[in-house]
Amino acid sequence: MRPINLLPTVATTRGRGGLFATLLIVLLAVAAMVYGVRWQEQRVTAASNDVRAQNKVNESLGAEVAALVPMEELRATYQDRVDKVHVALDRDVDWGLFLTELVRLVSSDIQIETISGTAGGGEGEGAFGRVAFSGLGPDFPSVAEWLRTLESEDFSGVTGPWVSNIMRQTLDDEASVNFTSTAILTPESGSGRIDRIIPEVP
Amino acid sequence: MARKPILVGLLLLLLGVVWWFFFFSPKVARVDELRADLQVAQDEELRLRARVADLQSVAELEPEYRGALDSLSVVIPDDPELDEIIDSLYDLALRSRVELLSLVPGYPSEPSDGEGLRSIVVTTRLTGEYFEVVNFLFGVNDLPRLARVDAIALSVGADGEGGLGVSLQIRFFTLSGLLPEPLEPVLPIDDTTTTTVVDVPPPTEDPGDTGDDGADTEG
Repeated sequence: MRPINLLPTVATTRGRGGLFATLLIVLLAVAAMVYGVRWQEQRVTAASNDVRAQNKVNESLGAEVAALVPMEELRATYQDRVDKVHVALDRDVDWGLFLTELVRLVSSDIQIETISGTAGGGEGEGAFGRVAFSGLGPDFPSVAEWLRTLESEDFSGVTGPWVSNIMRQTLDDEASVNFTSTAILTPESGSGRIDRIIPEVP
Repeated sequence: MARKPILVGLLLLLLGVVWWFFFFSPKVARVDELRADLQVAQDEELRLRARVADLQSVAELEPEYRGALDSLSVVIPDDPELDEIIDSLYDLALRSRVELLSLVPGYPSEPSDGEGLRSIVVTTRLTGEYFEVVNFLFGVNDLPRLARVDAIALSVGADGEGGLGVSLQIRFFTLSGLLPEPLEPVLPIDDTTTTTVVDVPPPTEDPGDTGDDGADTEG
């Protein structure tokens, strides 16, 4: 029996099989790459479409806003007028109410001769102005009582009352004291009419 | 024979690197960029929708806004309207039964604090009984046109009969002075004119050059 050498045939077969496997792997890899690129291209296209659609929506909304600009100007004009009223009524004092409260609370033996007052700033933070009085009282304690009245909680419109001068005098054989006094107007003396003046827009 | 798989592997690796850097990665970056753009556009949409809703709410209330503006233009009129100030104070004095002695209106002040608000201070002297004066002061606060009493001075017996003599500084407001507002320029300023002025050479140079430059600019 003659021996047959099969080795070259096996090597050839192995060689072909290896080449086929290699080509298959390369093809699969290339296919995967192409698929990956296509997939990303689709994502780019989809994202571009989304952006385009969104920009279209925004353009439409922008046109709506442009059509409504007169409304914005209307509101700005209203707000400007409201701000002006606020500025105009800064530290506005209700003098009618102030006098009413003063007359109601001050003791009947005090006779006020003059009252002068100014509204506005210049007296420090929280002050609405200053008021000055001159008056007559029966004696020195009545002036002390006057100060206590101005400082009482019942009369919240003023604070920091002060008497700068008390002088005894005799009128028609009757002794009395005249005095000059000052006080600082508080925010409670304010008119508070701003809400009434500014028409409310819901 | 063992080199072939290694070479194929290296080739595939090289191909993969090229694919990644030149084909795949730019697309991924582009997608990220577009998504960022989309996010910005979506945020813009939200902002625009909020603005539209806000302005639509104003549009729905347009009659109320216009009515409020009409009322506010009575409170602080555009023009000084001194005649109405005099009429209103006189009517108020009649209603309050005080005797009006004098009105000294000042000129409209210059606007202050950038608000465009001008003041008209009317120094007012009057006499009356206590309650009449108090009614007058309440009445000032209730005038349709905004008025505030900045200063007050009362003295007993100033009228010689035990009544009150009163001096008030009443401040009214307006938005314009006595002079009309400056007119807007009718013709727009031409940009080329400005350029011509800039291109004029210094006066030390030959005047003939000036004409040439001007012609060049215009050309």
